[in-house]
Amino acid sequence: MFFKFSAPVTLLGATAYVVRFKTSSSSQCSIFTGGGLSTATRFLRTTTTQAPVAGDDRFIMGEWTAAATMTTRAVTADDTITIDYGSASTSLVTPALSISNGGTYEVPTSASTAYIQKISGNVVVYSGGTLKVGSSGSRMPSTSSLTWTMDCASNVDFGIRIKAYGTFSAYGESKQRITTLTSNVSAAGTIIPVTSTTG
Amino acid sequence: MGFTSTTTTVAQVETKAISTVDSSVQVTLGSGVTYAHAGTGDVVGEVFNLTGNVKILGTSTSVGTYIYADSDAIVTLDNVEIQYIGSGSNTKRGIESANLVGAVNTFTMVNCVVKDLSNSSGFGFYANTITPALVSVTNCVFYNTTLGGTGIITSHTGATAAANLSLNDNLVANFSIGVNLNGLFTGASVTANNLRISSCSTGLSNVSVGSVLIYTSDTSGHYIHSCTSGVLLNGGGKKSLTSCTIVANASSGLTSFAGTNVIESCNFYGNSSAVLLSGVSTVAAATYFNSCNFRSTSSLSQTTAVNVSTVMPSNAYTEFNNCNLGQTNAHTSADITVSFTFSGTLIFNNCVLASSAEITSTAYTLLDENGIISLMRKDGTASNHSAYIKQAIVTPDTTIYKTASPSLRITPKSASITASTRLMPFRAYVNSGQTCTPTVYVRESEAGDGAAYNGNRAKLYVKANYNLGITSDTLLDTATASSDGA
Repeated sequence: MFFKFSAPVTLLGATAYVVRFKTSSSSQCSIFTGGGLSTATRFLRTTTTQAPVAGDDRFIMGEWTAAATMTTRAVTADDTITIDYGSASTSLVTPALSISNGGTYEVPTSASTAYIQKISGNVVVYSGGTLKVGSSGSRMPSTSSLTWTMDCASNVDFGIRIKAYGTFSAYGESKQRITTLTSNVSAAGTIIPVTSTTG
Repeated sequence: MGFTSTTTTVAQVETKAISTVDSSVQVTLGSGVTYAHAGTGDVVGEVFNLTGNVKILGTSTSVGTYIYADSDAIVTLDNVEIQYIGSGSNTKRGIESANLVGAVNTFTMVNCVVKDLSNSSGFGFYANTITPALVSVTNCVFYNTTLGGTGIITSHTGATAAANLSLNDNLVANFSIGVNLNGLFTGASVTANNLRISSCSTGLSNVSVGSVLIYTSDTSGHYIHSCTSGVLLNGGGKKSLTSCTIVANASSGLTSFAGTNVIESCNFYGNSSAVLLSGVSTVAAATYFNSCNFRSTSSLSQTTAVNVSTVMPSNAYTEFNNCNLGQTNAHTSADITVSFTFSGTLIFNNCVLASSAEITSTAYTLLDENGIISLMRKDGTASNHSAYIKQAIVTPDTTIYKTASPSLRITPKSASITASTRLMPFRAYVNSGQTCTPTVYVRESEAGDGAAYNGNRAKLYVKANYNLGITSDTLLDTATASSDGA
């Protein structure tokens, strides 16, 4: 969940700041704590911008601007060179790519493009988040491709986890996946007669 | 692209690169296939496309990844290639869909290829469901370059038949277990049709365990070939297979181990043994084959339709109805083989046994006191009945009889085993206080009857009945020399 203060807060040196959560009535939300009960898990977004680089963990989510008001955020994953994102944490709590409510991470489907995604760490799609590669009406065209590599060091270090009410969809070029031979093929034969090659 | 084996050699599955797509019905490879692959006849090989332009990959053949969809997740994978996945760890098994009762999630895989498990304990697709809700895996290819792991597995519990687990039209090749329909299907409904399973150690397995299993499924139309064992029906509960072709499997087409199994309109061709009746001494199976066909192919021998291959308890029951055994291409050993001590019941109703040897000549030596093989209306001929028991072959005789046809002809099989109708006693109802006086006409065969009987005189016994105070089988009378050719 992402929100910002009504105005930028300039942090003063040697000054302790406390951020607390308040709701209008009890039991409206749960706060995930990483350690003691008074320590909510959080990260701080600064106003300094930078394109993600190798080793970065990325968090994509909508921005709450007011009660019941959220601005969705979408990130286009149009890398065509290999950038190994993620800090290689095996924990699902600290994923390399986190897509939360209001956030969309989308690989485009432009023609003649070889998209690349390489991730060292888990990919977690939370409730309301969307990870998508094309759609039923806009598939990855035959002239393009996506190679998405989960860069594990040991078997199943990392994976793609879709949480309740999260959405993950991917549409590749439609292909004839299974067919049958229509006549015998001898050993060393190269001519393959099949029922259909469509796609 | 990949090519399934079309012989009993599992390892003849292979992959080759396409050079050109020549037409809508032909491709040319960059290099020739290593093995021959049949495209006509009883075994027709599959050709499958192993590539997609949207790929999700692990790192290597031993370092893979996983995809896990929690309950209520919404996942659609359409024409996606997924490679290097799986392990034996919970939530990291491969591609896994977990659903709970009342979940609104959907999980759809269509036209995908899942290949190369990175761990032999992994799975191509794991349907981990309490009650399946809108899970569909259709027209996908599951392939392992190295034999191992499981292609597709289902694991269910649940008290409601909230059907919507669909596993139709998939190809599964080169796994230790191709498809495992597993779990406690209490009322759940699984639709698994037209699976093509090849080159696996066990093609289709049902290893449900539990005392209460009501397994309703439409499991039909499968083509299971070139595995070591085509189908394994293991575990309790009722299971059914309909309209399947089970061909060219190296060890057996189908092994029936436990539970209640109904096999309807299936073909068993060119397997080493079509059906193995297997089990343990304490686990019984009741298996019914209706309108099934069993035979060799023109190039692949099938030694037998049914082989009693291991110990079977006395309540093991197998029935064949309206089946054809050994027609067109005969079995090379016998239609029916008994190769282990047999205590159960094997019945053939209105079946054709066309092989030159209908039953192995030594079968009677392996039938124990409770074992019986019964053939009724054999070859579709009225009154053509016979029963094989430990001691003898019992048949009706419409030629030789006393008063009216037929008589009961008992042909002893051994000079050292007393022939008797112990398993087929005659019953008489006697009211309290009445006396029953049974009369039996006995005729010992002469040479003109086929063979001259040279054994001991026939004896008439009343069987033990503790309610009547008869505490042991009691001799009533012994035939005399007048029974010779009487």
